[in-house]
Amino acid sequence: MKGSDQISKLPEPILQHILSFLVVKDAARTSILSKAWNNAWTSLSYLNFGDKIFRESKDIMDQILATRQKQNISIQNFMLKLPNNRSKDIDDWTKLLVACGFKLELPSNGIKFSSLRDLHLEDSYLDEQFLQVLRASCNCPFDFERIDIAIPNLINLYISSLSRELNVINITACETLQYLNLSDVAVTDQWLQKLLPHLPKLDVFYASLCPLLKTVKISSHRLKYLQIVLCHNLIEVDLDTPNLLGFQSDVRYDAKGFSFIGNYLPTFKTLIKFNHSRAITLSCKSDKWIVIPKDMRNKLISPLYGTKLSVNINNGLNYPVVEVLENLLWISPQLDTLSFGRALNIKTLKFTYRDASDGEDERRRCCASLSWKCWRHELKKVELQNFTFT
Amino acid sequence: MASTTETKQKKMLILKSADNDEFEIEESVGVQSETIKNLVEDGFTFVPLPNVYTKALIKIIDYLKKHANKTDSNDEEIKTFDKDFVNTTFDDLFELVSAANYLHISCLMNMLCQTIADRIKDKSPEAVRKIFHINCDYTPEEEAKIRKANAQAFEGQFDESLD
Repeated sequence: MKGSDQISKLPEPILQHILSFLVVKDAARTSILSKAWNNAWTSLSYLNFGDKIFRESKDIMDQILATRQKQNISIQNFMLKLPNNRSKDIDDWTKLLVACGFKLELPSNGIKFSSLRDLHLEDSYLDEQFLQVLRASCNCPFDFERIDIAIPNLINLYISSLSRELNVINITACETLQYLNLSDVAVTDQWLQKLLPHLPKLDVFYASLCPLLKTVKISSHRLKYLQIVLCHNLIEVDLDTPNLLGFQSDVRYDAKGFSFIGNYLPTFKTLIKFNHSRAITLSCKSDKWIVIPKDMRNKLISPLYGTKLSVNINNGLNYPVVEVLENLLWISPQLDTLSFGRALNIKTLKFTYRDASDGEDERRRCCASLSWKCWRHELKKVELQNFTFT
Repeated sequence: MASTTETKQKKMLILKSADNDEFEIEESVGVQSETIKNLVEDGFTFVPLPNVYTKALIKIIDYLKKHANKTDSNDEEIKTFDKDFVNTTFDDLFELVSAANYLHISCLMNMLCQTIADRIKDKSPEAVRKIFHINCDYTPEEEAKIRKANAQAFEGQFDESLD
């Protein structure tokens, strides 16, 4: 029926499910709509305070939690951005939250996480009490100086911001792990090399800010996505990962002459392994790695002739743009975009090539004998952005 | 029946709507609903759904079929399907959300509730009332009291548009 109030007739749990997708401020405002909405709001057990940090929302939160405590409502979900320093406010608030049904601090109540599949510890204060609770709740032995993670059903593991000295993390018996993210963790090459063969299901591996990584060797038929960024001492990534779909890394130049992409990303040999990937995006600080001596180019075949390549160079160019382009078009005759420059002055070149709809080129090609089409004949259009002409 | 051979290979279920229409679907499609899954585990192959009307059931079966065939490659296709799915009248959305709730299809439930919540987000209460035709059943005194109790929620500027 058009114009009738159908939404308020929905059962309260459904109204609350809808409210659970709103931040507290939006959800609280619905109390004024009608009595049904006010009832749904006052007993809502899903509270998301959004991005406002705790200090600003303290008064309203005290009141909201008090209302729920009075009604004996257990809080199901609670999201709040905390300031970095611990304060008395937070301790008070934690007590109130516990009174509202947050039972993690009550080991005797024995909430079991025996089917724990996803564990995120970020900037966590892992005090003794917390570890005890965790040890009692899931079957994973935790020790503050040595972390052994042995959770047979674990699928997703994200470890972040552990103290740099704390390099003793043991991941054992996690055969089902599919997703591993290490951020700001002092793991070593040997550690990684020992671990990876024990993770036969690993699809996705992210590593960032791991300062001890120098040479990463990965051999896996399973791995689909790999990201290694901000690992400042990394020298080499050696991959034997035929099923990789996505790879992201920051490239830096190595002054040792011809290591194709210097310090970090693929050596020349590795880059060839990326040929026939659907698309590759390379971001780097400098164009130095791109420029390869001409006699070298004449001798070797294009490493990425079957792959669409996009390149972002975060600074200005050291070489003339024509030279950079010449090299990039050699690396990948299907160069998609090249952009370079800083923040507000990013120049972009976008390349469009002939495709099937353009019909066969009847002219004789210099590249007829090659298994790929050379850009000289296939290039249809180049769009320039942010260039000034004088 | 042409589908006999296929029926033999795949386990089938019959769903019966509140209007007594019957629909045959593959078991693997149906068990995305927790409610149906529980019945199937108890050995049922005929599932009466007294709270779900034909119109909603047809759409939901469409949804389940689409999502049962989820692979790495049809991600975009499913996204487009979902977008079309929720692009309907509010009355349909409410009918669907009730049905999804009854059938315990959590991904559908989340999608529908998110769609409705998006129309409330950042809006003024007056705009929300108009959008959903909500009848205010407060007396002016009651309304003033609620507004006072949640005063902070009403601070600031809100979106008055009815989009």
